[in-house]
Amino acid sequence: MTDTAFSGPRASKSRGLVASMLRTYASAFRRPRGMLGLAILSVIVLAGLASPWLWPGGVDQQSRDSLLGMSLAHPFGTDQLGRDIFMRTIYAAKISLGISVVAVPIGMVLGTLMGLSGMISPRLGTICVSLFDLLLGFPGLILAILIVLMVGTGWLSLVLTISLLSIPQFGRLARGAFLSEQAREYVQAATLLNISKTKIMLRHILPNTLDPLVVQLGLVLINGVFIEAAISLVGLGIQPPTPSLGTLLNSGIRYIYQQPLYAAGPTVLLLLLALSFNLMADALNAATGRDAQGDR
Amino acid sequence: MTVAPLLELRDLGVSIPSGRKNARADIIEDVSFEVAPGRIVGLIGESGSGKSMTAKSIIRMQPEACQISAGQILFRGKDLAKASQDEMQHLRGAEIAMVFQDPLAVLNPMKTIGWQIDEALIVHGTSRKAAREKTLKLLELVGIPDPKERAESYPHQFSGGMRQRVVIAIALANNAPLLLADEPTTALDVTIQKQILDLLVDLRDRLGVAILLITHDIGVVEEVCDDVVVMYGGMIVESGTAAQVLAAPRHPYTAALLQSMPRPQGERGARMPSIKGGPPDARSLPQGCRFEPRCPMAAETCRQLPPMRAAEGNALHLSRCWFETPDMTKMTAVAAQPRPRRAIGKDTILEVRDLKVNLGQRRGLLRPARPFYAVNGVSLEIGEGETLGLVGESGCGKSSLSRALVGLNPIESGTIRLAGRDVSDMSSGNLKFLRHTAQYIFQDPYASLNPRLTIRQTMQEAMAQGPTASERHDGRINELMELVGLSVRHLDRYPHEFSGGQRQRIGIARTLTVEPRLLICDEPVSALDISVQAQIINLLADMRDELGISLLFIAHDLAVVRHLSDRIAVMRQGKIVEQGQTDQIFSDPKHDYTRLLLSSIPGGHAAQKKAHHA
Repeated sequence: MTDTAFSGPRASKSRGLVASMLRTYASAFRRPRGMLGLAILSVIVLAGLASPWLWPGGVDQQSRDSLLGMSLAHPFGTDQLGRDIFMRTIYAAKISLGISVVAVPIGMVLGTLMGLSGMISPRLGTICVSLFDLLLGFPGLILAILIVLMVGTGWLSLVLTISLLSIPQFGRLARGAFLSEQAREYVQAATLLNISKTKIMLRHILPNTLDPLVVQLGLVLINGVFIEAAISLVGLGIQPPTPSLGTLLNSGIRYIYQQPLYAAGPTVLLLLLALSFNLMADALNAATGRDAQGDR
Repeated sequence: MTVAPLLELRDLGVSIPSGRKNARADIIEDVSFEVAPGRIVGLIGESGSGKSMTAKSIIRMQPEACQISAGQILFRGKDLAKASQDEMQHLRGAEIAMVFQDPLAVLNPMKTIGWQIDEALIVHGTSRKAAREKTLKLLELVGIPDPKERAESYPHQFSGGMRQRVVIAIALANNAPLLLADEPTTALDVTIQKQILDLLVDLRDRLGVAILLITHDIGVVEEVCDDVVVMYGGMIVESGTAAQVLAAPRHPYTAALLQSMPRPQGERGARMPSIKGGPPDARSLPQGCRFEPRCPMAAETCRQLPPMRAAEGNALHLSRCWFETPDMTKMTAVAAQPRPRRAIGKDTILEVRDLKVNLGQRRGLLRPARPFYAVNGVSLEIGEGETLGLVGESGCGKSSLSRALVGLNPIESGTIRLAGRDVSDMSSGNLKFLRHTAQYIFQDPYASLNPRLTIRQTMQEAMAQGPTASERHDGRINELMELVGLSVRHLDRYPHEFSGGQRQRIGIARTLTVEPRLLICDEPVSALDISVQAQIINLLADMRDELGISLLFIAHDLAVVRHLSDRIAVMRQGKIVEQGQTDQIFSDPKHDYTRLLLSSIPGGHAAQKKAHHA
């Protein structure tokens, strides 16, 4: 009951709603976890972006030296066509991450809107919840196969699958937050002042539900990378010779006895990415947790 | 007092880490009092006064960051401040028992209450068989009928009052000579509160248990306590027997607190005496007397030096004040200013006929809802500028009714006429009219403001809905802030920077932006400290009298309602059982339930009763 345990935006100067939220999120990356996570991700992304300059020959440059072991020239060795595995892994990470970064925000926006749709009509809200359950219950791989049947293999089917699968991840969170916020008195007070539903949703409910969604974004992004890997692994996603973490794993498994490092490269990168995103999500969680509703 | 005290606190101090490195700030300082066997000591104070922290420190269950920095806690001569956690484990429950505010949070929902009382006995070394026997005796002792059968029931099968009895039974299980009760009746209805208080008195008289009763409610203290300790800002400001302190308070704070408590008798039309400002912040305590900034008698000395606790005449009645007794002329100067009362107009602003609200929930796709009438045929009217008080215990439907009036609950049947217009269908046009005519003030000032918006943003948003021309908005917001007793510099702050009372003021200012003619106040003061309660009641009365707004004032506390209302309606189980002029309801209640409510108000008749105990 004491008022001493205050939390919340610390500065008392009035700032824009958006600015103050962005500041909170940015503060996550000043925490050790956030910094470490961001550092790992930056190294991977920068290496991916710089790959054309680092390896001017391109990712598909072949050589006679197939299935070589570790060396200074080829840190992870070479594959069956004599291509540098390290370079291909870095490049693959860029592609896999890129697909997730495109697909997951689509799912986030759709999921959040669907989760909050109960504001417009309670019935629409219930329908959306059923859709979430349907998507969650549907096996991911079968969904991927259906989409590949419709649009063919390639990045588009991956983006569609990952977006669809991430909709309920955000939707259910947004729905839960919406339900609890809707019952709060400041939302009712706004309703009683005849403030429009859209405005209540955007100004009152959304900002107060966004924190868990942003934390979730970190976790779903890495989930997207894993989905990409899983689908490409079975050959439904990115097609060789373009490297993605999934296609690399696919060939890596085939040469697991001759060239153990082949599968290890993408695996280590997947783990690093997972670590980095989890660290960042953790830091965001801590940063927004201190910003929790009011003071209780 | 001839009996040796069971518990004695000597100069207890508790500190928390302050913002600066290695520095600690005292949140409790210099607390000394005694609890003798067979006496109920009331520890009273507002939120943040340190009363709960004191109680938690006694059993060493204060939060980890808080350390006992000074003094002794002597229980039967042993210093608990230095006891190990192991020793404390043996004392808790066996020697010092605790009763908390919320019985539902204390009881395990998965176990029968018989099992839970057994458990309390078994951990302190009773055999399982003996434990059950004792359990049944305990249940009988705390007044639970059919102990044998009820021991097999689960907590959810008990009402709130019965649950608190079970908690008390657990507390008494090991014949603990000392009972710490932290707000044991705050979560309960008045009629239940009375039963629990009677039970505590009964236990004191029959078993000779010593009870430390922590409460914010002076009425409760008046009702049951033998001794009183008043805390303010982490210090004891006054202590003595209940008869001494309540009849002739020596500290201005106690005097003001007693005055600002709404009572079932006494002056009605006048402003309520209130204490200006709010409780101090533990991080920035005044240099001199902690009450000085709010004290009507404050002098230069008070600002400079903190006073010591001193006795005058009677050695047991201590007060921490530079003055020996409060100067009542100064105290009352702030108090009873008569208020010019606006005449009640002839027009009816709200007319409700036979209203029914069905809150029955659908229990499945094909299973139809079982009707549950939260409001079952209510009729009432409120005149222009009139105040109707709506009283009832929790679950009686008073909130469901008020929410239905503004369209937050669906109406099943009946009519609502607002300012002559039938709005019962709640069509969008009617809703718009409704929301410009009637506004709603919420109970919880902490939840009714969006934590992410500054007060200015909240006010601007509300302003855009009102009739004020947009170029006048800023000026009008400033006017409203002044009107509710806040200043313009508060506008750019966030809700968490305000106290409960201030937030409630903001809530009131927000409703005024649309210039309503009817304000529906749903328990607007029940979440506030007593000294702040009076301020908000006065503010509501001022709004009514200056702006001619009508009020529907909903509360569970008859005394609070009485102060403000012209007429009172008593609600029970979805129906209004009695309705009439305020004075008539209090002097000549017709319905049994009204009589029960009136007789359950704590305090009042208690002061005299104390004399023979002292």
